[in-house]
Amino acid sequence: MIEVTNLSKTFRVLEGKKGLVGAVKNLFSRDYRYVEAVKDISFTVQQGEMLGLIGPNGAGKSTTIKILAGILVPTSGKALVNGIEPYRFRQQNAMKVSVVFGQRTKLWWDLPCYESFELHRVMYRIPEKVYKQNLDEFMEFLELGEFWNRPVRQLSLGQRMRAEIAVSLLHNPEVIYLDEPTIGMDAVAKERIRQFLLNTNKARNITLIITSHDMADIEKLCSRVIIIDHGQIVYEGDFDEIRHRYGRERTMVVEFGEEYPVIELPYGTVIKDEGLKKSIRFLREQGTAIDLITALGKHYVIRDVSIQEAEIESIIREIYEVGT
Amino acid sequence: MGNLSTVFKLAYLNLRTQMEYRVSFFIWLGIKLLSYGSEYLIVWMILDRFKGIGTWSIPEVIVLWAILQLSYTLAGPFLFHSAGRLEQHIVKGSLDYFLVQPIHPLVNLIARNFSWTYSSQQVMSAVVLVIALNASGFDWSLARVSFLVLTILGGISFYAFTFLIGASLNFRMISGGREFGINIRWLMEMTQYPISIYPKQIQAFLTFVVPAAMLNYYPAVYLLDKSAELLHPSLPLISPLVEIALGIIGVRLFWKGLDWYQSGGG
Repeated sequence: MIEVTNLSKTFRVLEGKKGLVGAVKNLFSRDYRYVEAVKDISFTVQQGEMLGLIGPNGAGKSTTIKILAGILVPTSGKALVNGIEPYRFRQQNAMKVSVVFGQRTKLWWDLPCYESFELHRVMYRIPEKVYKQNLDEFMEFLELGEFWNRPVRQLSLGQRMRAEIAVSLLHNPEVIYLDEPTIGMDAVAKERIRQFLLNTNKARNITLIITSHDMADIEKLCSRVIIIDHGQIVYEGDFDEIRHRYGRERTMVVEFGEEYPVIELPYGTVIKDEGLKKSIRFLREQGTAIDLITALGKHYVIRDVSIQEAEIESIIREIYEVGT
Repeated sequence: MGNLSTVFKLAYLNLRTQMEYRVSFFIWLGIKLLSYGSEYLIVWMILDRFKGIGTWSIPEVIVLWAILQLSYTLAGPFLFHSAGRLEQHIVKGSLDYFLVQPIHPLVNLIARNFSWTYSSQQVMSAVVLVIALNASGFDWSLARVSFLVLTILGGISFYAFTFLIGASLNFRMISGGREFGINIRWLMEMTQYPISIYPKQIQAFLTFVVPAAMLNYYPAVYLLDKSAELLHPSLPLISPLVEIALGIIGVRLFWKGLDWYQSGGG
């Protein structure tokens, strides 16, 4: 279905000199820096699979998605989607795929929501029957009706993304690429989007490739993940395995009732000290969060406690430490 | 023709967007009408003080000018708004979406940025051209009229060429392409007058380096049966074809430029 072989993409970045003199110099000599955003990566995705691409900022996730979607032309290597190179046959590719960028919109900003749907129907030559069937379904599950007649600029982020995803699925694409689809949304809106994507994948056997900073997105949606760092694949496998093997680090934020210059910990270390609020990192095998809190509670006044989810950055750090 | 209905839909949505800001839409229409009308008036008044330029009579000079203007105003609705928007589309990343839609990105760009405010100028330019041609004793034969149409098409194509070069430069440097287009247009103001009044070097420049004179001067030599000293006798007849070829080259450059497109963010 999707086949990526030895894909690389190098960007040329202008190294601008600073200041007025620098600006004049820039006009005459341009120094370029070459950034290898994606380095020789290969993987395959089956029809109907939900794949998560994760990695820190600038790791090459978006570049990979843009090549797969046909937006960028790779420097070397090859990507095949439905048997064609998407960046060579853009229009042919477009009929079978869809892309959603969390931070951009394909909807007409100043016009009522429904106009963008109408445009999509015409542009993708969607038969009236298919269009109506899909629209009815999305109207029901995503409750588009509540903002159907409102200009897109007036929609909330969550509403806009519901419309964005619905419009992207109108032409029954076989693959949908989602780049940070839940960025900036509140928990309820995120959950709604996830549920819809899960249902859609099941009902339509659509292939879904998603990048996200929110590990919960990946955990709830993806059966398999690829972790990219510095343009290379550092891990490929299912999500549960990551948790078992790497989710060892826990960070707990404790807010104390009084100032304590030194905190004696049974295990773990203070990684961030903001006066009353201290972040403590410990490993799962050292003990549980409950035990740590109980131990601390015996000696100190504690006002509040929260436990942070393992972040992608810490998982990657562990992968490097432990090795795959 | 599914593509055609998409084009109309995009242009319609664009008009609706412009109408959302109705006041500004009509103010623009008014400003263009005013500035354009006064431009005509000024040229007419200046030329009125002379008997003509070189061997060219006043109506003949106006023919040159009107060909330039008509091509410009016919190309305008398609190109000039798009040229400005392209940079924004690149910077904001919305160009990404054009590349995953089943319609040629150039058609997509042009259709959604189609400008409706040129219609008054088009009519005005066409009327001035017809009046000036009549006053110059133009022979309204089928051959000449077809050549006139070809000339205007060549003119539109030349403006498209400057826009497309600017666009493909944009793909490489993110910005600045539009300025290129504007600057070349400034250069073309030289061809408002018969280029025979300039030194040979400048004539050669406007013929072979930036072939702006092929837009109006050379075709007019044929259209108005002028006996002019030419750099080459075939120039009047091949000029529109050269301009059309440039337009085609421009489209190829746009495609090539897209391979260079680096996309923003991520």
